[in-house]
Amino acid sequence: MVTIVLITIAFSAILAFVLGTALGFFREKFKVERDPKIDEVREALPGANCGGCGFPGCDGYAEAVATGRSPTTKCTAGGSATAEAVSKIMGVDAAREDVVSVLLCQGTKDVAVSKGEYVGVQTCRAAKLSTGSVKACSWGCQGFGDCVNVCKFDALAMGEDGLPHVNYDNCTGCGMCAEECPQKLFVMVPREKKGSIVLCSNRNVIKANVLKTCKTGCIKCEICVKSCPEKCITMVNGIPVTDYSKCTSCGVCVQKCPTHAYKLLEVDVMGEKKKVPVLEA
Amino acid sequence: MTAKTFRGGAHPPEQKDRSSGLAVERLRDVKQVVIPVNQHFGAPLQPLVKVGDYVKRGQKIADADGRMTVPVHASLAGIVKKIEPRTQSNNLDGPCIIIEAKQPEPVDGVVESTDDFMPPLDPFVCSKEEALARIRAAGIVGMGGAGFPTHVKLAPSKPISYVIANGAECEPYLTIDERTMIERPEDVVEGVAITMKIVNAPEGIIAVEENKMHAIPLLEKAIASSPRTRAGMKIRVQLLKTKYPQGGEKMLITAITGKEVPSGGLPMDVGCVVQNIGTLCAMVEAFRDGKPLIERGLTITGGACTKPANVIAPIGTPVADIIAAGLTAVDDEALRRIIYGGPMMGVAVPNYAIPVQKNTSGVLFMNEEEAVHYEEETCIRCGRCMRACPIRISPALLAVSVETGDYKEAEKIGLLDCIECGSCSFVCPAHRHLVQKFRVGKQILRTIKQKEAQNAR
Repeated sequence: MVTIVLITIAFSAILAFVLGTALGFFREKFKVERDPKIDEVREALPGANCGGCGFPGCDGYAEAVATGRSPTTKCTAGGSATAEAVSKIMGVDAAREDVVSVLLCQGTKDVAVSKGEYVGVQTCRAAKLSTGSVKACSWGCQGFGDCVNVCKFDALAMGEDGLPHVNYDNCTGCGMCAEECPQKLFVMVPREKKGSIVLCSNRNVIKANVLKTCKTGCIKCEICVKSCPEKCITMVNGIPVTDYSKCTSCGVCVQKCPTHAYKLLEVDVMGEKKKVPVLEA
Repeated sequence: MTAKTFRGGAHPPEQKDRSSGLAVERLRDVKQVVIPVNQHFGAPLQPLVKVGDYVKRGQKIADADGRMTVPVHASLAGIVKKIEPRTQSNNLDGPCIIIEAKQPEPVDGVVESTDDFMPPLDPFVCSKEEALARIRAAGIVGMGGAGFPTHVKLAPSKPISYVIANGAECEPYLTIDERTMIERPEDVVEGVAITMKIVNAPEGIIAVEENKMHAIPLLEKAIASSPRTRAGMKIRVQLLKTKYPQGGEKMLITAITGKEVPSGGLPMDVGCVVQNIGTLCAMVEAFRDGKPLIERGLTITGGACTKPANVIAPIGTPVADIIAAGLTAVDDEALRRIIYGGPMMGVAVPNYAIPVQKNTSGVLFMNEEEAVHYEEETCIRCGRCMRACPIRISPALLAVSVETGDYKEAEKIGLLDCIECGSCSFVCPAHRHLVQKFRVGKQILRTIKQKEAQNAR
């Protein structure tokens, strides 16, 4: 009995040694050359695999950077710190602003008129495809939270008011929400940006029709354009656009806007004033 | 005559008896029309008129260059009041030309004609190019629903052996094609003959479902007495089983010829051209009277419709005006859903002020019972959708790949081949919104493919 055990142990040991040696030998013999930079870059990345860079996860992006197929500043999740670290490994200059996502719609349930009852697939894209828009405003937020579903950083949540709300502490500016939104309502804005912005995307040319569909829509009255002391607002495609190189955040446009579509970025959008009830997940 | 059919399909309640016995009435004295500028499948048009212009009935009011474009004509003589975005029957806002009826002032006691039609043209004498140019100039598109430009369809790059007149009208409720075949069988036969002449096809077939048997003797009489068949053209009537989607172009071809249109292919790939009954009549009018496509027949019916009707209305007439004219009536209390088109493939719209378009084959006013909505449940893997699918893809599997975002797999299963007929959604015992998912999936897959093509460049 003991002999059998001993023979088994001895045999296993010899087999293990032979196979181990063979493995070690072949590992060196058939070694796949791999750029050490790939692993270095991979180490420096946050590992969220968010896909915000446009590559399949952090591994894909690391390889793309190391082989020179992509710039070093595309990791939005890691922000400027990651960009710097990756640039250092690759030996290039990093110049990247930290951006966050801003929703260009204020059409909450109370102010934006609904077109009718919608009972189809409960996603924004499906609703948009079947109904044009579930709201009377064709440009407004559909409110089914496609953006919330793609956010990898828990930075978006559907509010009780029917709009998604960005948590600016968590938002990394990866841009997945902007990509997903069928209405293209999200814009990426530098986190430190000051100035005013119109939180409306309605491009209906008829003023009366804008108000019929949404109480806080931009009615294209151009009071902002006329009243801006710096003359830095111009109408582009039916929506006023601020020239941030001139804007002093004086807030005149915000005060004058009759439908309160104009907001100050640092105060109303990302600042303390923005306190909204958020649905429990 | 044995009834032919295809494999698969569904049997939704027909509901045609409400309006099938009612003669087509013409809507007269329309006060205002809202004509969408873009009513075809293809490149967008530019308006040719300005606000304040006087336009005649039949005058071209929007056009563009390019093969996949079809002009739009004024369906009413009057003044252009506005050109602004309005909601169209696809629920999207699009530019519309609003014309208010106005009789011209008599000059020297003579009132000028308010019609601006083209001179008549004999399609059997003129060249093929002239005939196609006339069809385009008359603004004719497929009137079954898709709005595909007819002059493109009639210029196939492959030899055609069959011209099929699509009188299947497989959508429940709708009866306008049936009424047209009963009231104007000569025009249907003439339309088939014109199409055969243009595409140089040896055989014409008028396909009719079994529930429209009573139209067949009339069609056969019209065929027998037609000067075209006397001159040697071969046209016959083919009976088809009553089944949805028998009137789908691909199903119709499979049922009649036994051939299958290849994936991603067109009917011309199997030597067929399929034309809607309404389109054929519009073509006849375009040649015989020089009249462009400025009016169309449609069925107005449904459980909440207290006076169902088959109506010929100018393109651009808000459906509310047809009600106001007394041709039809709706019980607003019972009204739960308004659908433009048939119940299977039509679009639910928010109100009935939306105008009739070139591709509006019907307007349905649904009551509570008809518009009942069931909560969507989980797939129970019964496989009924697979049996119902007329193009024999597997909707259950497809839905899984679309939901999980596996578009490579979805494409392999046949997402882009889906004809969106709605048979799978109709038979699904779990009431899954299959077709809507596929429509979304198609949109996303097309975007992915576009991006890939761009990257490859």
